[in-house]
Amino acid sequence: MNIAVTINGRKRFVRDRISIFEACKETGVYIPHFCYHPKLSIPANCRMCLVDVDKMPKPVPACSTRVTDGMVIRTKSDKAQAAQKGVMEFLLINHPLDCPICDQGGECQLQDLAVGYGTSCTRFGESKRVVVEKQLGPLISTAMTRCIHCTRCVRFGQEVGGDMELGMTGRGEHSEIMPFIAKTVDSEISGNMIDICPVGALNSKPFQFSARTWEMDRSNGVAQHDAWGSMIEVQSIDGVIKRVLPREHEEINECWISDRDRFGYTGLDVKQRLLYPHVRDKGSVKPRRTEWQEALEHAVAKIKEVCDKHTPADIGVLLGPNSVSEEALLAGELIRELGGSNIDNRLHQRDLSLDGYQHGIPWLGCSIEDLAKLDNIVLVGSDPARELPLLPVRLRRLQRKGGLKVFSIGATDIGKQMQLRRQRLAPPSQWPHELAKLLRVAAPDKPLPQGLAAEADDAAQEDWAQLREGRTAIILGAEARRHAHYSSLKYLAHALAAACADGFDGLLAESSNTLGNSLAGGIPRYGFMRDKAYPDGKNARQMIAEPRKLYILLNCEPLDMLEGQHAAEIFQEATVIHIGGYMDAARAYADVMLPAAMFAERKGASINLEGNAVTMEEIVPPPGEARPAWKILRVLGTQLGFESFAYRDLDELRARLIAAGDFGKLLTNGINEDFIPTFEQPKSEHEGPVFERILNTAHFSIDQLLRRAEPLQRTSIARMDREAAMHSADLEQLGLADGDEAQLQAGDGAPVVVRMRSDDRIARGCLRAPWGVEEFAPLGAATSIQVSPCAADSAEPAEQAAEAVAA
Amino acid sequence: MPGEIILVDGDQTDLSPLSKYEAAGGYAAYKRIINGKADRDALRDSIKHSALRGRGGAGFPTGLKWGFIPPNIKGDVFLVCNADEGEPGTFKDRQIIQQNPHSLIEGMAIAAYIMGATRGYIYIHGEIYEEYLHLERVLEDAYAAKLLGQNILGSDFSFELHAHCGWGAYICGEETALLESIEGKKGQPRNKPPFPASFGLFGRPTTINNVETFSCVPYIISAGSDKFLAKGKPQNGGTKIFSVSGHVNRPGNYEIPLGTPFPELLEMAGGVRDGNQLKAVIPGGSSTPVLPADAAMAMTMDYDSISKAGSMLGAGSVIVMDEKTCMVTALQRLSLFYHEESCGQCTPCREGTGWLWRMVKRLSEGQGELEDLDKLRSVARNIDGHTICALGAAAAMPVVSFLNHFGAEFEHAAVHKKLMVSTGYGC
Repeated sequence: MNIAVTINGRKRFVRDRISIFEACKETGVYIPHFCYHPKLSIPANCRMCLVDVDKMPKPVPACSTRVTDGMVIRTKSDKAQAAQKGVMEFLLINHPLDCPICDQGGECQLQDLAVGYGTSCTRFGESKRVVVEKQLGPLISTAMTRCIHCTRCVRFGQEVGGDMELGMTGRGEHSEIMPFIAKTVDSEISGNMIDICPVGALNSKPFQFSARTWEMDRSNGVAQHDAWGSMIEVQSIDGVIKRVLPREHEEINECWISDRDRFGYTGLDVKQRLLYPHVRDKGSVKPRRTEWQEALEHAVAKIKEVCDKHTPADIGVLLGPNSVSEEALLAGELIRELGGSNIDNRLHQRDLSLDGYQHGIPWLGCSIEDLAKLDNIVLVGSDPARELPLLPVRLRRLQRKGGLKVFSIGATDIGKQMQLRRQRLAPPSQWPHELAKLLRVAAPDKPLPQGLAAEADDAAQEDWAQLREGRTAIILGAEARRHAHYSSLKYLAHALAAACADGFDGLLAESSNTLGNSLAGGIPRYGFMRDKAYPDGKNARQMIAEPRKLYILLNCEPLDMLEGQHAAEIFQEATVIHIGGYMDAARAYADVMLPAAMFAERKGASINLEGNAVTMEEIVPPPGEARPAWKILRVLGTQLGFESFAYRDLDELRARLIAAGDFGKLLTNGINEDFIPTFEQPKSEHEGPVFERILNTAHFSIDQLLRRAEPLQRTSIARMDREAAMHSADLEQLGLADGDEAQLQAGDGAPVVVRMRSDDRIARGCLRAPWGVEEFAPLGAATSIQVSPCAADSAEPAEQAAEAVAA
Repeated sequence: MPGEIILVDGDQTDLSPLSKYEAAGGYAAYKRIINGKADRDALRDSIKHSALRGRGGAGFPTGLKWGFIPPNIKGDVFLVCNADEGEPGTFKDRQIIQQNPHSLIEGMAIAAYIMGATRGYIYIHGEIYEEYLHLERVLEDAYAAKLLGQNILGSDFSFELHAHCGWGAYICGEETALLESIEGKKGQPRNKPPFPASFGLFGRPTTINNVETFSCVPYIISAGSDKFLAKGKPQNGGTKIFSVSGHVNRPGNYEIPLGTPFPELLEMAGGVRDGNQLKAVIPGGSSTPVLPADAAMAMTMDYDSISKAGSMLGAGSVIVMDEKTCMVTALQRLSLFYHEESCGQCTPCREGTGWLWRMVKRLSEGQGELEDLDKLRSVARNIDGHTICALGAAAAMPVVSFLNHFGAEFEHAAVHKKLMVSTGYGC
């Protein structure tokens, strides 16, 4: 309903029950403000938005005062301006006014408003307050003297981040924003605090002192480090990316981005970067830098040699998580022109038995925005904050606004991230049972996966009563996708969703372009847009289980694989053509290293988890002699004599993608009705305590770029991901304490000695030893891990520790 | 003594033992209400009729306030007693708690009955810890006598009353900051609206009143609202305890009918010390404007008259200053208090109170300039009315009134770089 108000003498019709601030914003009247942020609660503490309202003796804060019918508002009257100018003076008296050396200078709300509401010289003759700096970790730099106590960062933590990591202590002038004692800001989306800080108190540490805002070129882009597909703005000077900021997109990322997306760029300009083509001569260990011509000829010769001596099926192509659709399309066509079809981008998927039974490419099942229509959501095998940092942000918002009910089945307690209607905390091997319990209530006639037995319990009855009503989504997360019985989980989720009155199942895609890569032909069984079937194509697991003679690795490294160390050994035996961004890992096994452009250095199209296709332009030129991977693949194809590879530029290639038409119908979570998976209870063959490994990847190690982003690797999240963790009670049973070293061993594999951390969010019987980091690579794909305390007499690690301490 | 609603026999009688309080007729009204299932609206009307006004400082009609709680509400309704007596010059609540605590408990219980409150809290200032311990003991007695708790006196009325000790922050005397503090949060005022009557403690409807306000209630119910009203003036019913401090011969709490002329009160307190001349009076606690001697001698002690004289009755904390008082030093001390006690939540108060104090301090140390006087006024004006709670105004009002009435002393300090009066406190 609309009501009439008078704003600065003009009659306006505005929505009822909104604030004066919103009413003015909607009618184009600007009101100065600091503490107000559209995504945060309203504390009205900066007092900058004071306006003059008829019949009110004192000026009122526009942000927290609701409009009423017939209200007469004056934002520029003497009374209002006197109040605003008075507040501005107060804000400035203790502010250091060090704009020339402040990173916020030029994009600072305080600076901007001081021009309009401040005076040219100060009346304040006393000494200014100085506030001690705070250590907030490697991502956020502080200059707390500049703080104006708007508490946006505090509210961000409480309301958006889901964990209050900053607070305001002290009273009056002694008020300070600070973290908890000896703690830093460790959230996965902490960088957003930099954006919402209206002054230069919180700034980006990696960006610190490196550029002024007005010098930088701004280009639109899409985030690359998770499947959410956040919109970003890349700011650069002279072809060097200086920083990445979120671009507002209400339907997807609102105005936030994750730290992975914000600080990932720091991995671009590092010494490990592969800048020139390299080849390894026969018998030599060290690769030799060479020209593009020779390197490409070398690569073509290797491919031809394998095709001649063996078969095209002896070639495997692995697409890493940073690949864009164009690259996947060409890689797929290359291998298929050669006569093979061994190509896969699902490097972490363990159970691929569903291949051939799926109706299309699995996806979220609805758009991100449509999550708002849900009444219930069941998360299976997902630690949302770590997997898709913006998913819990969205879910929390929906819970606050509409009472979305969240159920969880997983090995990690996610109760701190959001309110859970029920959490079934269980080791991964029990997840099929937990889902089956629900299905037993929901559809007693539906057959369970072969070999799986489950009975309904009271909790399942209760849950089902809730789930069957309203709109329900059953979403499989990353840990479900990597599960040894993914097909069973998928089958159960699908059946359960079908039994709901209005339900669907979905999948959280693995990386920024999993959907695009799969559609473009980056999967073994189907070509571009699933046009042709290639039933003989080998998937990623098979390519490692049955080693190939030649691998083409596109943006892919052993740590991207499920069996990290094993894959590295296989690559060493085989011929490897490495097309990627870095040489540190690849130099150990690659025979030809072709430097590829990454992230914003190349054009590319990607499709996020909801099926939103976006393109990104080349924002900065690739360093050294690096080239976009699609160009490298095109030249390889041309030199191999494939006529269809004669693309002149990316637009021609992209035209093919676009000409393929609507891909929406290919995004489906449907599976063949007659498909019934087989479930095998894993058996422990080893003596002693065996723990189930949680199927997660280290948060800041999900792709080649992030692994080299040094600021991210120094965060406490990254540090903790390099330690193993388990429940304190489990640790105690093993005779271990938090911080002790222990030996992890998978079967008869090589033992790993790591520090153990106690974390009571982990389900009993589980061990957290993430994939993606070197520390746990020797454990390979194993999920049953024996944990034993380090023998006291094995002096070696102790000595090392002592040395480390001494150092 | 003329008053005797709360402080029976002045401060001679200790009514904290339950037997003594009951012997003096205490809890009779309460028991009658409970046993007789008295009509709530009629009770509230009698409070309204008594013209009882809030004794905490704002002077809001109590009966009206109690009507804000929506009737027949589902779930908890809270009743909170503000005993966070932290303003310089106030010391009446501690004496009520010490000498007549049952009148507070009975008053709260009756109020709870009227408003359907299920739970009450008495928030006591952290600096009067003995009173807190004392009240805990008295509450135990009341619980033991089944005057509080579940199904009181066998009826279906239940009321749980808890004492809660703060840690001495002045800001927690602001009602919404007090609620935040009880909730376990940092004591910072909330934005209003919503008012506590609709969204108060733990988000529930809540009524907050001062100790003295509640303590008046048993008398109104037992003696009748007319008798209470007759003790004071129209619109200003009952007696009021004035805490007289400063340069008088007998500082202390004096319960007198509202409308008593100020000279009478001064006489009760033994007159100005050493036969000195009266210079100024702060009639309602440090946050109310100061009045010069002639204005003070002409006023009567009630809400309307003091307001007409240019100040406020506030909590009835009369600070008397004689001719030997240096007003610059006095203001410096007051401003320091507000600077120290500002919660830091909103800008004008956080930044402005420190600025005010530093300017006055400079003046008092002989380092001020004449332009500081205008600056003081202007900064005070920029704080007043621009803050979330009234602390900003409380810090600004003394500054403006001191400058208005005793500007000459400030000018003297600025021009001659020394104080005009240099015999008093702090000189």
